[in-house]
Amino acid sequence: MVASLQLDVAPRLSAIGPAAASVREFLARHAVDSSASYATDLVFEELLSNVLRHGRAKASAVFVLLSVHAAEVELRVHDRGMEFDPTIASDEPQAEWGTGGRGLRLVHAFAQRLDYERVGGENRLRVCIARTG
Amino acid sequence: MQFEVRSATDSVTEVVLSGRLDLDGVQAVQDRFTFAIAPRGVPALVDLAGVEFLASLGIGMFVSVAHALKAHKAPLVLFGARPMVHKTLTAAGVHNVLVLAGTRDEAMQRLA
Repeated sequence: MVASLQLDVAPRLSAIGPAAASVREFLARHAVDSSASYATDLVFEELLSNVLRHGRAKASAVFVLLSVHAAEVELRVHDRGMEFDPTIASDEPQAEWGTGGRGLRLVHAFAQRLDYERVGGENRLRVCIARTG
Repeated sequence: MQFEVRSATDSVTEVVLSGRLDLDGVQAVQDRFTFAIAPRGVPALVDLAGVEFLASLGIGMFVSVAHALKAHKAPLVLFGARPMVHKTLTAAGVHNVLVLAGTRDEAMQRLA
């Protein structure tokens, strides 16, 4: 049985915190281990922050579908902003001492798999995170 | 997110962070964290034992203060990170600009 949580996150940064709290509460309710929960929380924060801080979802809400499977947590993030493929893009700072970026690096480090497609003017990202517990 | 200065001497600043260093957490502490450490220009220890979560914005906050201290040849040493927070720091690839230590004793040794 797959448990799912659907969220429509308003296109403003202040919406990320409450949405992330809902994600954590959902993962706890479905007994996702702490490592996978942390990883999902981090991937969610970095992806939503990336979408909203870089103005890729100016007017419409960001659609999020979180599903807990037996062996993995699946996170789907859809936004109607300009085309952006996080599987090949980089947000690395230009200098070692740069204070921005690194979010996509963390997404890749904590995710097991990322799949992206552009469909009907929408970015559709699917991220899988392994459950270890 | 909570922040406090544990001690501030002529030779070292020691601070404690606890809670979530996410978007909201960084906005809550960044100014106090920066102004408690950077202007003093001496080595700094940051106790991360109470930090439950660290996002890239929090790492950027650490890098910014470490950069300010670098001008004084003073390190910023982070210690006591929980396993997933430690994994976040190493995954971010900041080991060349931030000093990571397991315990406070190890952190003190890194200042020597």
